[in-house]
Amino acid sequence: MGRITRRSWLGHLGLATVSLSPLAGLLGCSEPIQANKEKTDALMALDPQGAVPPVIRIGITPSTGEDTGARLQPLVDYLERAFGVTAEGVTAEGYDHLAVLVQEQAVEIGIFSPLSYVKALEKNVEAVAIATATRNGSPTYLGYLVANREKHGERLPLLDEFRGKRVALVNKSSTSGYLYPRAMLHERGIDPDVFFGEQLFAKNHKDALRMVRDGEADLAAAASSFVDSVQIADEPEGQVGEREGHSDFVVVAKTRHIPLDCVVVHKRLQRDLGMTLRKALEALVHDPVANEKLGQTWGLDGFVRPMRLGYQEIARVYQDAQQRAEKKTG
Amino acid sequence: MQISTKVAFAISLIMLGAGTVGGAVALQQGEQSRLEDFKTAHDDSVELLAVSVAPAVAEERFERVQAVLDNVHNFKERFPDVVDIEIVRPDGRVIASLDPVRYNTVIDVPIPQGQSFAVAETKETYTVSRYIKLKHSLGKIRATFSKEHLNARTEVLMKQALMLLLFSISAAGVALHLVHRRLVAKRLSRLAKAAGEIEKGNLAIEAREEGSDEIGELAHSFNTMAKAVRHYTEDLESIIAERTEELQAANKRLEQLATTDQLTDVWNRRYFDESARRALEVARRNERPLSVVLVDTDKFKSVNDTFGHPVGDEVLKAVAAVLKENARKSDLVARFGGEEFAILMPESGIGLAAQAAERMREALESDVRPRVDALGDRVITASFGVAAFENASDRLEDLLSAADVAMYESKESGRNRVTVANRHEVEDPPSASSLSGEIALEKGMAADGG
Repeated sequence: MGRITRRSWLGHLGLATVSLSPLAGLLGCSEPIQANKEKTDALMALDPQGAVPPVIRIGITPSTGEDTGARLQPLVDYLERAFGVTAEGVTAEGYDHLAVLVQEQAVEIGIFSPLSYVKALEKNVEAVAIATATRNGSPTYLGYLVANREKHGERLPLLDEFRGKRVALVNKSSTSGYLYPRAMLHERGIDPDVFFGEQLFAKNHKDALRMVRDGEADLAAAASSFVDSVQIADEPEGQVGEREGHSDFVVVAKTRHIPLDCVVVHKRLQRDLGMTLRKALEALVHDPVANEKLGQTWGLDGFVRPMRLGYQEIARVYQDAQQRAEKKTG
Repeated sequence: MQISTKVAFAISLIMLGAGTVGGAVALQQGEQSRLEDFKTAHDDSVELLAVSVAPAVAEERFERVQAVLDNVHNFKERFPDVVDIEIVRPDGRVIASLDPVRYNTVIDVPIPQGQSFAVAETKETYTVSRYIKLKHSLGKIRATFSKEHLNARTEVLMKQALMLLLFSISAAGVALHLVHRRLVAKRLSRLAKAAGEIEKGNLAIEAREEGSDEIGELAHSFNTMAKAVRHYTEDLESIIAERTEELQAANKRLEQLATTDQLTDVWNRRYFDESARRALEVARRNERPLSVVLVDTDKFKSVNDTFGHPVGDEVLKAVAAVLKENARKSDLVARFGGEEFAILMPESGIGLAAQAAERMREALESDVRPRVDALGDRVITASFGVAAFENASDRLEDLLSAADVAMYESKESGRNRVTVANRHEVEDPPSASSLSGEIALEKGMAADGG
């Protein structure tokens, strides 16, 4: 009888194994989902026992012709009013300096341009992105290559028509005014150094547009925000102003999407505080006062979760550009 | 493997097969249904998008059209199926694209003539092309959607269905196994055990009769059969015992016939020879004395001739009886042939044997005649020859020959006497009584003449 019992146990064991394996599979299905959620949230990298400073210092870089303090003030006011934290703005000398301030925890928040954020990461700054700024609700913008509309009438000229012509680029550290337009051309099989007859450098985006308007260049690289909603007016020295329903420029080509400014915190900032700041930034879009003021002073109107893939794309484009440059010089 | 396990596995496999086929059909239908929903939803969304962007396209506010697509790009998690969207002018120029690099390139978006839209489908993607219209055609929109999530959903559903199916079937298998084991296998096992007990010879075993189903009936039949086997066995044993007893009696009778003289009821010559050889061997081995006495009935022919053979037979019976009565328990009396008898005397030297022979001689002389009425006053005597085992080299034939010689010497000396074989030195000299016997014998023999 004992034999029979053993056999029946073996039978039970076999059947139970078959029965439980799908259960294990069912349980196994749900486990990675939870793990992935935790892995994808970059703020988990913050220290749960990190520092909680009495004042939140927000570091930015100065912009030409603009009052940095006034630009940042709506954000400072919003954080103090809505979240009860004490905040103040800190103006860095430039992006490299801002990276140093973040690394040394001289500021709790740093707001970087996309390329400067990528460069900061390359320098191993211990920063974690908590948000990407938005303009008109979009966390990305495009780089355009534009031509003078009057020269082409109602026709949309093809890019190939600008072979051997003059192109106005913004400085080499500009993402939408130099890096991305050149990457776009390479992607379309065009080497800008060969394709164009002359590559000119403007002081900034507006100046590049002015050069096209004034006939100093046939094509200009500029951020989409400078083209889509504003146009060159007849004011002297290329001042721009709005004019509804018409544009002096025709867009000939567009780059890939470029993420807007990146908001970072240091890794040693307390995780809960990091979470609170991110929630605060994401909620800014729902605060009409802060939203409107920030739009007026900075051209931004809110923040969303960081566009990590977009910044990775910038890093890739930047590296490709460097390699191409090294190839040509070397 | 137990029968219950086999049954459970077999039924589970059948269920698995049926479940797989049924599940596959259900999944196929579900997949088809989800695919139709998927297409309908995306057809609708493309139509909605075409309507939404039409005014901006009409005004050539391409940046506004692009802004719509930028939202799709920037918040991809909200539009997980969208792979690509392109909006083209009637001349084929792309005026907005999910990938802005394609702006102002020329592509072909074919829509059959007379139709407002077209679809193309691969295993991985679904593409919808549609005209953008207000009062007239402004261009086309082409949107490509990935079926990855749909396929993944189908795959997940398939896995879940398969797991559920396997789990259900396994659970059903276990349940079947347990139920079958309880209702069938265990009961059959008990019956097998009972049969095993019967095989071992335990006929008193009885199987437990549970329920009124087939196995219950089988148990009942088994018990009936066991009972019948028990009865048959008992009867058989009784018959065998009876036959064995009869056989033993027959064997005994056969043995008796083979070793006993039928007329006189003393041992026959064959038995005497066998016994004498064994006794001689024992005596030789143990250096013990042994004697043989030969007895020949005097003038027996005369008795037969005078009184007839039946009386002669009666005389022989009486002689044998007297010899037996006067022999020791350890002595062996045998009819040696005709009217001659032999007596084997283990543990007796020549002296003791001679004394015993003399005692027998006297007994014959006095006791035979009264036992056979037909003899009247005719006295029956016998001549004795005694020989003893003396040398290790002596054979039975030597002893018998010596006794025979002595017996004939008794005959020649006048019958009715005891003569000790004079082979060697005599252990014990004949007693005085034997001498008187010899005298008496001489008298008897003179009257008898044989």
